[in-house]
Amino acid sequence: MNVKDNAMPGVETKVRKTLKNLLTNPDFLERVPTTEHGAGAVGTAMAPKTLRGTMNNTIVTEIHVDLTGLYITGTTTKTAIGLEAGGAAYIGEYDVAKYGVVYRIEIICLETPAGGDTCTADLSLGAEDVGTNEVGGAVDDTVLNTAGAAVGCTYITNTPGLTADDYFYITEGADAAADTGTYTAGQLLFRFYGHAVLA
Amino acid sequence: MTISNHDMSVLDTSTKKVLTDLFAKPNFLEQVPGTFGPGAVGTYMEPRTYRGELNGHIINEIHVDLTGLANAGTDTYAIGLSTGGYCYIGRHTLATHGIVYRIEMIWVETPTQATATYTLDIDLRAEDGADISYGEVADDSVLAAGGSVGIGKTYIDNVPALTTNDYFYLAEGDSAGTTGKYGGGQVIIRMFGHQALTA
Repeated sequence: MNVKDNAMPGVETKVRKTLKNLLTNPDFLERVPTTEHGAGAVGTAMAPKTLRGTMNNTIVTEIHVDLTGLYITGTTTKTAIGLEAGGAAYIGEYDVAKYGVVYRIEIICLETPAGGDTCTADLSLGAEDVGTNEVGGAVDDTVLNTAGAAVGCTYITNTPGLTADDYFYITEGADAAADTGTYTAGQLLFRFYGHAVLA
Repeated sequence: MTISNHDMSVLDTSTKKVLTDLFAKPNFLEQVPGTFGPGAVGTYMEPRTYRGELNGHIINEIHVDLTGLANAGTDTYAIGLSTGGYCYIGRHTLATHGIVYRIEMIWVETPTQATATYTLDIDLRAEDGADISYGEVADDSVLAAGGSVGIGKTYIDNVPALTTNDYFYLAEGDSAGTTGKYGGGQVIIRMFGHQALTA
């Protein structure tokens, strides 16, 4: 919506500026100031970012991850991807008070994962009841598998069936051809849709 | 949200109108100059492009009315003016669209026939050149209806993986038509994108 500077002559300049900003930036997601990921999920390009907001009572949470610098142990499905040096590799925790009851999850690939050796692009969002898993650690549950993430593609589950307080990990998919390696590229945006229990 | 006039009695008329419009129509898409060829301009309206950002996600909409446009009668052929002229309806650039991760084709009016014979199977296709006219092949399938389109139907592609700088065309999805002109038919092409993540 365009608002001309002279559209609100009766309003003082500062208020008019605020209203204009509100109109031109209707974003409702805000970056979560405290980290919701483990130290082992921090690559060399950027640390995971978590953004969250509510519109019409739908809670949207986004986790932005750049895989660059993260490590895959390869050959074993459902194992965590993270820093080779170690550290808890979870990228988030399913806190129902924050996420609401999550009813849909999307993985949006903004850059195809690639890296040395045979780093696989077949990645999953996994969940596990402990938050101490490091790279290569087994992650029990596959929430959403990409079967090969590629730029400009979206992967969706409408039946995530998450367990409260589980931790989210990026895990190796079903591609057992992957070898040990460090990612040099790969940007994934995880989006969760939730709603509080009706009251 | 409804605002009564007397709720803002202290404000001048102009300001009151801006604020009332804001709450009544909290739109964040704005019409922008479109990229389309002269062969895509029907007799009802030219293609319109709307664009806006919400939470870093870029939404583009292209609104097209088929009235006056024609199909040549062969699968994959572009739909446009039978008198000629390049008939692309838009162009995918990273600057304007971001990395497109979802495309929707929403029909708000069922195509009707003005002269025989038309097809209702209409697809969105892409091509690296802007030089495709009515009755010429648009190379790449982006989003296929897979059958008759009609009012109230939406088609979704979550893995568009577009090629940067390609041009978009509406094209025949089958060979049922024979140089028929459309007497109606309105479609909204909605694209969701996001720029690459930055630290």
